[in-house]
Amino acid sequence: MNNYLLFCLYVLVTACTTPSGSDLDDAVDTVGSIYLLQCGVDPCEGVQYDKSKIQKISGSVSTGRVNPGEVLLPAFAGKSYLQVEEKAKLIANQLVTSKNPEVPKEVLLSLALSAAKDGKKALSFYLLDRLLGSKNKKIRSAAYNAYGVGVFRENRVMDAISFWKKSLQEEPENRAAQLNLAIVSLHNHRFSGISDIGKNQKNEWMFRLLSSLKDMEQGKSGDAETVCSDLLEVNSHILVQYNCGILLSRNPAYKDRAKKILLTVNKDKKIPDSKRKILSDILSKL
Amino acid sequence: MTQYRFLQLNILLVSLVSNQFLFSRDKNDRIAVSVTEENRKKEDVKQGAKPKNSHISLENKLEKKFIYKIDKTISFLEETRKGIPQKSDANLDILFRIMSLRMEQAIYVQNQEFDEFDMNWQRWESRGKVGAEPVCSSSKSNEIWKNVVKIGIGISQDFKNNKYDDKILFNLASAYQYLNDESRSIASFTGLIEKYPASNLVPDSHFSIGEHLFIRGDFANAILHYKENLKEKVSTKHGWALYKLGWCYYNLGQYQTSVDIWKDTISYSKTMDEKIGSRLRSDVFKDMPYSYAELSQLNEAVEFYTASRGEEYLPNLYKLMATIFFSQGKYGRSIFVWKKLIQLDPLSVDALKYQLEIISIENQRKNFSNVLAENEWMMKEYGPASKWNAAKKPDDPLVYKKSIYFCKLIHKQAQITNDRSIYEQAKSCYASFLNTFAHDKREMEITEYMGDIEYFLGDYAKSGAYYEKITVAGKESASVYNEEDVKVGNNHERCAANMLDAFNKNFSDEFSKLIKRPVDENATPLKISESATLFLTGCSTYQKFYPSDKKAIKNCDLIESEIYYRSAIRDKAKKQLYEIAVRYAADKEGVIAAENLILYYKGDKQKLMAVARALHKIPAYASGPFGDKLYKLIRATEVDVITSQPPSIARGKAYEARAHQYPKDPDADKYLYNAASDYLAYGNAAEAIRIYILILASYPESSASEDTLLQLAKLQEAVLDFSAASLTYQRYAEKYSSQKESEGAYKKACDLQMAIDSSQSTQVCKSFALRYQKEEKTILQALIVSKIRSEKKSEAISLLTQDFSKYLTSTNEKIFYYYSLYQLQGGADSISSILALPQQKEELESETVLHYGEILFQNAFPVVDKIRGTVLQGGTVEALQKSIQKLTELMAEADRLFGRLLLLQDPYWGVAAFYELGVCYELFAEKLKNPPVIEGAKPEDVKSQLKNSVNELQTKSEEYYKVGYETAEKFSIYNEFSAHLSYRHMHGKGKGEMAWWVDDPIFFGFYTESIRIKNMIGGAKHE
Repeated sequence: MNNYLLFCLYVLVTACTTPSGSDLDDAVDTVGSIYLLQCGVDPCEGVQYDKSKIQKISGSVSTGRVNPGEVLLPAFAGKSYLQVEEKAKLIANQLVTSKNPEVPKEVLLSLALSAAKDGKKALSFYLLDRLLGSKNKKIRSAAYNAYGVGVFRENRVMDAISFWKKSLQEEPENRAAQLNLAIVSLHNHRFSGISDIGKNQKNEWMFRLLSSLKDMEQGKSGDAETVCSDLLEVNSHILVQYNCGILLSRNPAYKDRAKKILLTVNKDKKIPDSKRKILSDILSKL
Repeated sequence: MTQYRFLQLNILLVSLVSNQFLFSRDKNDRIAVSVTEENRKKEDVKQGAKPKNSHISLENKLEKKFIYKIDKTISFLEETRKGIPQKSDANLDILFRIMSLRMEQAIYVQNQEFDEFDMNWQRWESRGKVGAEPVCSSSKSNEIWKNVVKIGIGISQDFKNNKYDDKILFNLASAYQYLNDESRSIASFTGLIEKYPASNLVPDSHFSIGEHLFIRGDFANAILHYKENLKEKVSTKHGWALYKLGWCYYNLGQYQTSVDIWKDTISYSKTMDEKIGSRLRSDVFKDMPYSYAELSQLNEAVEFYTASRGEEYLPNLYKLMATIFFSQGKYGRSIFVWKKLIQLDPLSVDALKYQLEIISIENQRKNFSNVLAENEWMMKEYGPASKWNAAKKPDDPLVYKKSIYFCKLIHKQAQITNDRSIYEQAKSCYASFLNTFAHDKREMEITEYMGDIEYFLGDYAKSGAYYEKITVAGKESASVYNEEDVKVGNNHERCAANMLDAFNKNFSDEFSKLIKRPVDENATPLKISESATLFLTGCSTYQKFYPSDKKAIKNCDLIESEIYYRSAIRDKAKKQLYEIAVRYAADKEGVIAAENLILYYKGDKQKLMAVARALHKIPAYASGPFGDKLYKLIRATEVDVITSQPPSIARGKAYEARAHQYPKDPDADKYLYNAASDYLAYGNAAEAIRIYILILASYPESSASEDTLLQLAKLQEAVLDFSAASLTYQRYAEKYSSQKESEGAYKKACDLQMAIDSSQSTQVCKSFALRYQKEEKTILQALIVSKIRSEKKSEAISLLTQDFSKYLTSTNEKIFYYYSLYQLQGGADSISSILALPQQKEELESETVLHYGEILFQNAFPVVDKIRGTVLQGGTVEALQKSIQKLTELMAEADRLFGRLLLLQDPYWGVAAFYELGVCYELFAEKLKNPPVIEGAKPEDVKSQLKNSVNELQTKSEEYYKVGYETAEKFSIYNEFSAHLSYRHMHGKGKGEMAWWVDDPIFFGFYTESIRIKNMIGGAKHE
């Protein structure tokens, strides 16, 4: 048994455990690939595998070492359901055995999320339902979070909040659930609900942004604009531009800058129509 | 799976506990010794003891040269007599002369007749006395004798008392004598004696009368006449009279007197004419032994013969005495004399005959040891290598013939008496024979006799060896001859069979013990015994010559097999068992051998498989019960070989290959199932799925079908092929509808169809609902929800109106129904239907409450806009009052409508109702707070008039806001109304507008980009 190679299948998406930006870039750039990690005796919990076969599937092998159990959020980021499904089936055909009769939950979660992303609601809910019963609390947490997003989209806000709370019960440090709950709380002016969210993550921009917004909504002096200003200096991501552009537009001091940013965002093809309409309204007022 | 144990160890010789009956020669089944015993008859020596009359008659025999001319002379004399007077002396002389000539002629002719008779007799005797016994014909001589009588009587009548009268009487007497007219003969002789007592013919007349009396047996009176003759030594018959006198005393039992007289005769003969005397001596020497024998005076006789220069007659003496002793029953003395005789001249031609006499006598007296000894002596002394034989060429067949003859006699006697010692003697005799006549044509015949003897003496090994010698020599050598040396048969086959039988019996006791020996894997090998080796060699020899004797060869094979098996000589046992299994495939022994053979290989599966396959190729083992067993064994072993491999993909392939190779194997489906299990265990789910599908397609009736189908469905689901999994689950559920898993499988099929939003989902789920009707409502609801989610409105509507509509019994169901229709197609009808539902306390599901509340809210909310849009009318007080009244009525409507919503006691919509009521009252208050201008009244007065109402309305508004806020806080309600209430609570006024920039938040968990952004911050790195 000592000679067996163990591998753990992880989706490299979370930043907190990613050792470097370079590695992360690799991970993102090779979306769909599976990283094979030669684990030590502890704490890998995986399936015995034949390395050559797995290589055949992945086409890419990393010898890096990741602490298993920490990285649980979905892989295949930004890929369509069909892309994820293709890879997931390849993985399943290799990893499903009589001893391990189900595909790894991480793969299933990825599939569920990609389904949700592509509007395959029923499939997404079906898969997430299965994941809610996972023995891995991080998987359960992720599933609850995604479930919350799904039901929120069906205007079942209360249900969504309930799922996110369950997600956080499973994994208090689930950043996604924290953020989702914080955003909806902020959205609903339920600042008490977000008071504790992200308290341990003061250096993260999204929490800082939310915190600033809360202060602003509560009439306190906040640094939302400052945060956005700083943030935009270092990050031009569409989500940052979208949120901060809108936020800055409310302050005349940043009116020109906000307009410039929002015009850029409005040109981005990734922006959904609903948001594009909002952008158009704001731009018309600037 | 292993099925070795279906075979039980069997003794190959099924019905036997030993081999002793396999070659069933009965102990009494002896060879028939082909010998006919020659019965030796005792000669009646006395009866044969008589004088040699021929020698007496010969005295009168004339010289032939004279007799030739008798007829011519008589004719001449007859012619002469014609011219002579009848009564004349000359005529008398001539007639007497003619009579004498005729008499001589008669004697001559008679001698010829005797000679002829002797020759016929000898011929008849030499030819085996076949045909009528020769008769001495005296017809010719009798005619002559009659003529003599006629002439004599004529002379006597014509010439009374003539000078030839005594002679004529003598001749007539002689003629009558030869004509057996005894009375006339005696009368003539007596007349002569009486009428002419001085005639010199008187002594001879006495002799002749003595002869008549001797023949008549009147020896006493004969003695008188012989003695009368002896008184006159001039008689030509003197010597013969002595000779006959001796015979008379012999016949009267006075043997010593006869000996004495014959001794005198010998002495007298020496005085006679040498020729005649020697003839007489010869007769006496030949006849004396009769009396000596009666007197048992062998030594005296020999002594006399020697002293009398009669040595040449000693052999005759011995022979006669030996014969007489034998006839007297004095076998020992007879044998003694025969041996004396042999000693006289061991190399004589007749020595062999004398020896045969000895053996015959020994045989006669059943002294077989002596028969054996004398026979062996004969073979030694007169056989091919003997001096006797060297002196007498060619080989005398008598030695050969008689030696085997006596061996057979001994053998036959042994068979009659069952006397072991005689058997031993016979055996020894045969051995001597074979030594004497090496490479004889009868060797195989004799060898068989020896084998037969050993067999019945119980020495089966030796017996078998003799039979083996014959068998090995071959069929051509194994001829059997009769006593005339004519080939009459062949003993090869019989001997070969007896060889097997003998070796088998020799081995029998040992074998009986051997087959009781338990043999297992640890049994120590035994050395093959000498007896077993003999038997096996015999079998081999027999099979070489009689390969078509299936029964014998089979028995050999079976015993050989048992020998090796029980001796734990495994390699040979295996080989032999296999040969038996092949050779006797049609018999039960073949099957048993095959079964035992298989047992040998139970520890070596590869070899076991090879053997079983080889056996199964034999037609007799290809089918039937044993064929089926073999097939199963092969199958089981092959599978065992596969099963014994460590689990792996390779083993799975082996299982699959096995199934493909034997698709009709009853377990082919199970092999495939095992293959799939191995594939699945080692990470090749796709192959496992392929195999499961193959099982279901190729073996639909397989007992594994059910499990296979369910496993296939689960596996397809596990590898994320939800469409296929769904169909397989449905197939399982329908095919195995009675199984407890059926319902779950069907539900799974339905769930998966809904999950993948398949066009078949409706059909599958409705089929499921049809079968499990108690689940129908739940299934339909789920199906409708899925259709709504996937925005397949028409299908959802159809399901609602055509299927779910029959479940509209409870409020929950009705609200689901109408709310869903409302969602799908809008319309007042659905709302009206919900609103028309009686407001009663009924336990509603949370989902129903939400939907119900939403409809009630939608129903109530227009009144808020109406209040907001209602403008107080100025101008006149009446107008103002009228418009206030209208608002009041609207407020009452709002209270009623939102009040109905509050009756739901649902905090979510309760917050909304409280908020909207607060808004209504606030709007009303605001409107009263800023009343329109009333003509004739100061605005301050109007406001003052309305102030109380405004305060009341504001107070009520605040109360609603407060209750709403508290409810939202209490129940953590998150909606726009709670947001407004929170905002108001925070700011004391105003509407809490939604943060519009996040009104459609981008949630986390879908986009990873945000995470990367964070990383950019943390890593201070631009993308």
